Amino acid sequence: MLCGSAPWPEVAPTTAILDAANRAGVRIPLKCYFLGLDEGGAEVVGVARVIAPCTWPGFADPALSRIFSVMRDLIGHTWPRNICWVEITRLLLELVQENSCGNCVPCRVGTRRMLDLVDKVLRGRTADLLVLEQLGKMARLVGSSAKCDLGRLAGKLVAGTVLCRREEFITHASGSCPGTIPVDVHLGTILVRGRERDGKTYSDN
Amino acid sequence: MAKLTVTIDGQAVEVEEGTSILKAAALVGVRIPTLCYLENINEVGACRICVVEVEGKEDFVTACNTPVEDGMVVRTNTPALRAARRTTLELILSDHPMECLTCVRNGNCELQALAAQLNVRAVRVSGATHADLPRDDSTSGIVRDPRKCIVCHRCISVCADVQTVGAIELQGQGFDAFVGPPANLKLAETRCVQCGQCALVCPTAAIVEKDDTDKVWTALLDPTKHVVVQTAPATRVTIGDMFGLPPGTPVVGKMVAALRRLGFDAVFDTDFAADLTIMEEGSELIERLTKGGVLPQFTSCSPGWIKFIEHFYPEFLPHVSTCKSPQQMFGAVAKTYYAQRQGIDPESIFVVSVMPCTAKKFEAERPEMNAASRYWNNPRIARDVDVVLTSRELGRMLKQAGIDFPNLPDEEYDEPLGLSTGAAAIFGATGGVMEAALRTAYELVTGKTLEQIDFHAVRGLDGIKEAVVPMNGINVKVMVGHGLRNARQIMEKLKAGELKDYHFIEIMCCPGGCIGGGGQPIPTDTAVRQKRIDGIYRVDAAMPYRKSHENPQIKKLYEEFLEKPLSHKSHALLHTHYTPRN
Repeated sequence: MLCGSAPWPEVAPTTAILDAANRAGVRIPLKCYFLGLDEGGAEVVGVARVIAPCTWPGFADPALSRIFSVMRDLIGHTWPRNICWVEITRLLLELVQENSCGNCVPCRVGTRRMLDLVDKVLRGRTADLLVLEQLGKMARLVGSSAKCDLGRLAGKLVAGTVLCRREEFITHASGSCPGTIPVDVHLGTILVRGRERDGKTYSDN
Repeated sequence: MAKLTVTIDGQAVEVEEGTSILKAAALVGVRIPTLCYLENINEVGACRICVVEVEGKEDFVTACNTPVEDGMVVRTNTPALRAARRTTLELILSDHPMECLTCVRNGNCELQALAAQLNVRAVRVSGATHADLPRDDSTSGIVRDPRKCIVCHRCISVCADVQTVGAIELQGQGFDAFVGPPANLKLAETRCVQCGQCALVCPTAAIVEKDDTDKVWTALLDPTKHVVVQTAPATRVTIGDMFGLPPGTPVVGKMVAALRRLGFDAVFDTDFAADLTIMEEGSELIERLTKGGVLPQFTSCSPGWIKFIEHFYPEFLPHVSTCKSPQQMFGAVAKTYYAQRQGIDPESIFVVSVMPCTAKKFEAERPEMNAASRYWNNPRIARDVDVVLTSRELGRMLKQAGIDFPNLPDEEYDEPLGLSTGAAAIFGATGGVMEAALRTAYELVTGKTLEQIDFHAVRGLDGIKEAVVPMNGINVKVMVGHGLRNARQIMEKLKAGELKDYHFIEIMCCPGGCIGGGGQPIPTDTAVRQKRIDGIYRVDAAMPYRKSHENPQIKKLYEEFLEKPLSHKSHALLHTHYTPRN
């Protein structure tokens, strides 16, 4: 039973739980799961299939593409193929926290607070746009004030992501993941394009 | 050096190459807010509070450790900077226990002051905290409360660079980073010498002295106890700091009056014991010189230095004078000579010290510091010195008792352990023990009166000072070092065999000597240290006696009790041994 008051929907035996829920008018808060990763359980894969068809046009946007490529460089081999921007942001911040030397306040505390804010978005229980504003503000602070490139880069990347993929964050915050990077995009290609554009923009200071 | 022109908030200023933006700004009346910055010691840009905008740079730069460039245009007070500083401070506050009202640094906290300065009215960020990090009160002198740590790095820099001990470091990564001993050790398990320089520079209450004021309040209320207090040389120019008097103001008379009003049965002076130290240590030096003892002889007054050499250079312990520090000599004399003379049961005597020092707490607790117990063969006499209070703790007690310190009349110490000389007063400054020893040793060795008793060569804040004093055909070579970095340098020279022709070396653990001790009022910086040193020499100049061997009470002590320096009784009560801790 999906929800106490909702009527039982008529569905075919193979329908994913999420589809069934949607038909019943019930929005299940979703975290993004990665297609192809063994997280054990058909439901997980089912959810991923549901959200896989992506309508995201972002690759035409040079700024976002650059962010994508830098993040891809940073996160490297652990980059899952099918993942949404909120998850990417979380991965990046986790990576920064793991590697932060802990010397300066913006990186040590700031990226941790950003991580907390992204988790709030991912939990999907807040429609409060303040979270998003806080995240953007904090990211800009860390991006301009951190002691070294690690924090500065992270801050700028997250600030850019929040700006460029605002809708994705908002929908996430209110309960579901609207899309992911398309399964079939060739990551290698993006990486090369990103590097050409990237130049030395992020490595001075 | 090349001159550069920079513009700060629209004002052009010419400065030398290498000047930081922070210092250049100060020249045009702009005080950029700072938090972790500590001049010459901690210029690491960790807190990011001193950020400024530099034209042509995309990101903010920190003013404390960015040197100016020619033609640089700096802005220090833009809306973006105000917002950035405030948010950074809010980040710090989001992981800081808001216990200001019950905090020992309430009213003297740099974090608190900065929050007021930056007009922070709410902390808009929240999340995980370090509220569960455990307190470390394993040492006698210092308590660490990592919950209140803002990871400013000052203590790390002081411990590693100024004192070359390196007992605490940054541990862990990211948000979990904290300051503490490596491998989750307790501070007592490290080579920490308990000098307290970390507590002196801590902007908050993350490192503080161990508070023993309750023990003193209890003793003062106990009618069966005869509670005596001794005041260290350096305290007579520092206690006033805590009551708004200018740093370095001599307040010895007011301090005596205040202690009497607290209810001590007798107010005595560690300076008396400092004169005694000179008699013993000077005689020891003369004996080493004439009988071919181990030279150079090192002073032993500073408990931080003693613990340092026990940890790092134990093979050179025979160089250290066997004399106890004045504090411990006083304790031993109070519970033997004084008890006997006044007819007081030594068991009932409770000795409180007022010291500039956290390491003194450790010293008083050393197991061998129970000479009175051994003298009377009475195990119920526990320690020679029962409680050590730092200057800061005494200041707090006086405030709590409602004593109007600045307006107290000047009063005199009690007899017989209250009379002292100028030579004892200068123990509080680097070079002071040396100068006091020279004043006495010269006259004892040559039998002539020393005309020029001021030894300026060993005074002042230079790290290592030297002098040669001719005495009866011997050119006595002396050296003075303060701060353990300088001590280490001297020890390395000794190790390399470069100090073979030196006779006497004074080491003080803390920069500036005891006037810069780890238990002194906060703030204690270089300027404050200099003012206190000036104050100490003013006290010396005004004393009727300025040479330890001229102290009539010391003469009496030897006549009535100890017989002579280095006598059997002196050895039992006033001399000690050391513990290699490698």
